[in-house]
Amino acid sequence: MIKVKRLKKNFGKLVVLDGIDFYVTKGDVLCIIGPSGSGKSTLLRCLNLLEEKLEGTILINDVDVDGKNVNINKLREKIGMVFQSFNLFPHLNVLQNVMLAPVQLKKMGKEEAKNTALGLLKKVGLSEKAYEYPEKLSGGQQQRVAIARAMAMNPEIMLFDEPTSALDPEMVGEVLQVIKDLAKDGMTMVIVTHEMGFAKEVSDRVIFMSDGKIVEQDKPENLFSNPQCARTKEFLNKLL
Amino acid sequence: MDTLILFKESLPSLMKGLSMTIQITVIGLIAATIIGLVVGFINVGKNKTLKVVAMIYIDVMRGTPLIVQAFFIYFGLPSALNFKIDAFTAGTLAISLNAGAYMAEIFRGGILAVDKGQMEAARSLGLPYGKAMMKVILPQAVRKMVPAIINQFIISLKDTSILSVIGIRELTQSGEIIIASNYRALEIWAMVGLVYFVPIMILSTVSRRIERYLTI
Amino acid sequence: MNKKNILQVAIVSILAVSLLSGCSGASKESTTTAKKYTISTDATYAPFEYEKDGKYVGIDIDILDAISKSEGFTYELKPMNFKGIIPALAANQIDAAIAGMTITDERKKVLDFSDGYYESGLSAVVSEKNTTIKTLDDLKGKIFAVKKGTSGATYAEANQAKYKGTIRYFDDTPAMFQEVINGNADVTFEDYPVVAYRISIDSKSGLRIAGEKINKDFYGFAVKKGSNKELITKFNAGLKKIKANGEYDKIIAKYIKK
Repeated sequence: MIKVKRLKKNFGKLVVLDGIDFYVTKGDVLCIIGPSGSGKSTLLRCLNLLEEKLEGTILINDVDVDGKNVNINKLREKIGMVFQSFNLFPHLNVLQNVMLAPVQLKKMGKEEAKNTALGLLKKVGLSEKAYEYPEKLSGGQQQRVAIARAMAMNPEIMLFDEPTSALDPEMVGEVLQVIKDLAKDGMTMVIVTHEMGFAKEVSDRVIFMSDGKIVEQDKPENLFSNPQCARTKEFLNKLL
Repeated sequence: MDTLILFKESLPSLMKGLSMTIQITVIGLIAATIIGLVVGFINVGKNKTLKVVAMIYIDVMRGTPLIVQAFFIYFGLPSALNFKIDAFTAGTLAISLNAGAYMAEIFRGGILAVDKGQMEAARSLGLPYGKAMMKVILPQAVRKMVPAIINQFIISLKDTSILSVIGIRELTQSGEIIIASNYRALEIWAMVGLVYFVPIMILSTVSRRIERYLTI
Repeated sequence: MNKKNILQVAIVSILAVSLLSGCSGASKESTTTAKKYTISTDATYAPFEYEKDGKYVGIDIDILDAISKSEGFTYELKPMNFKGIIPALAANQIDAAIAGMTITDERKKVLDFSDGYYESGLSAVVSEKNTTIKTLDDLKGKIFAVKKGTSGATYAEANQAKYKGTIRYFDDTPAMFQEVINGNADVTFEDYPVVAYRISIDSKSGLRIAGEKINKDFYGFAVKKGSNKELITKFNAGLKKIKANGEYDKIIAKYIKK
């Protein structure tokens, strides 16, 4: 579904991504782990073109994002993104947050969008908060709304950029549960996370990044119990 | 009391002047808001050529006094380029261009004050730049800008007094004309000050109310 | 010894000369009164007062200068917008004014005037492109441009109902004329010599005098009513003198060529 070849990205003089090759196939759940500054978030943000790559190729459904007639907005409709800081729209209530994009992009009429939105909110367990404003919600609740909002566009793939890193520990569980449910439903996902237990449980493949490179990638049971590279071992040891 | 009689006699003329002042201010500010939006957007956008033009516009308008701008538009340009413009249009235009430059900076500041993540979230959903601005960024930015916008309204309202130099019979000029016939400068200027003060106080109070309402 | 004496004499002489020249400079100020008057004039009202090469010149300026010398008083000249002159006199910010100011009964209520020092009168002025306005009867329904506080403004106001005209007010003569030249106003009322002067020195003035002189009146030197009486006395005395000795005519001829 997504193919990345020799991806490079700099912030000024700082090399953030140093030649990344990886792929995601339909139904995959991929977790990206690694120390801060390794380029995990940048890689994710390159996938939906929030960050502009310096070099390399990104193919989404075999369409080169550099192509002449490529409509980036249309591409993004198929890719859902959930941010570390939720980024809910404060001037709209929860329901309006979820409904905004589908209605504005003429994906569905208002009634249909409302029903879809209510359905999604039920799925993430927040039906009763539909008419509240984001500021009245806890962090965990806001993130669940953010997930519902991204899902409203019926994406083919969901990207999660450290979805629980900004949450109080008590709320991490409820968000992770929602993500697990999505995985069970067969959603293709790439998740940048520090939650190792969660990564072990939910992913088909784990990618370990360090210093802008993919150091190692393997099935979770292999990578966590039997890391091949020294750098991976070093990182995992520090976590225990 | 003699002063009260003077007040009663002068009030109709001053009220006419106030009406002119308010007309120019309202029309001028509506135009200034439109100019400010366009220029403000140019400044947060990516087109470099347009940005340079916008910057020159803002610098010139903020770097020259309004009275000079009014003279330029009313007396300077028409005689040089051989066209006719009436005083009301010229005066309103001067106020619009002048306030527009300040409005542009208010809009730019307001838009930049909105968290970067908001635009990212909107774009990630597939919303194009324009829709993201209209539905997500601007509604948030406007709330932040309301006090500054009303402040500009008040400033422009007072600025209209300068337009008496191109012959517009706004409030200040109305005062001058009355004084030219009865020489009672102190009382008349006090009255003129009062007549300016009342609408401005109302605006200030409205501004504070709106601010309180928006800080939910 | 001789050299020392010469040196002493030299020093004393130098001191004496400098003292004396200093004295003669000071004596001008210390004759009859030590007071230096603040006298206002219009910022721009040729040929009566206007700025040329950084200095103020004109009929009013020269007359005031001649009289001050003849009567022995000093003054500081303060050019300002005409509309501000009478309020400034009333507020004691200036002592007197010579500004092409017409002596009117209205003004006499708040000012004391000297004897009239120049005969003037209003005229109607139109754009030279205007061929329709020939006499005062053609003023019906027209737009009048006037200068705040002047007799021209008073004339327009007094006749506004009669002519059913609209009045626009300006701060100075150039702006007022520009309004007529641009075509935003049809006619202005200005003192005859000022318009005549403008047309005479500027072939591209864009103005034309329509009809005959509207009225006849005089310019006066003004002070606040009841104040600076001695200044009025001096002005009148000086005026008589410079008229008698021909200086007055010289001044007029300098600016207004027949």
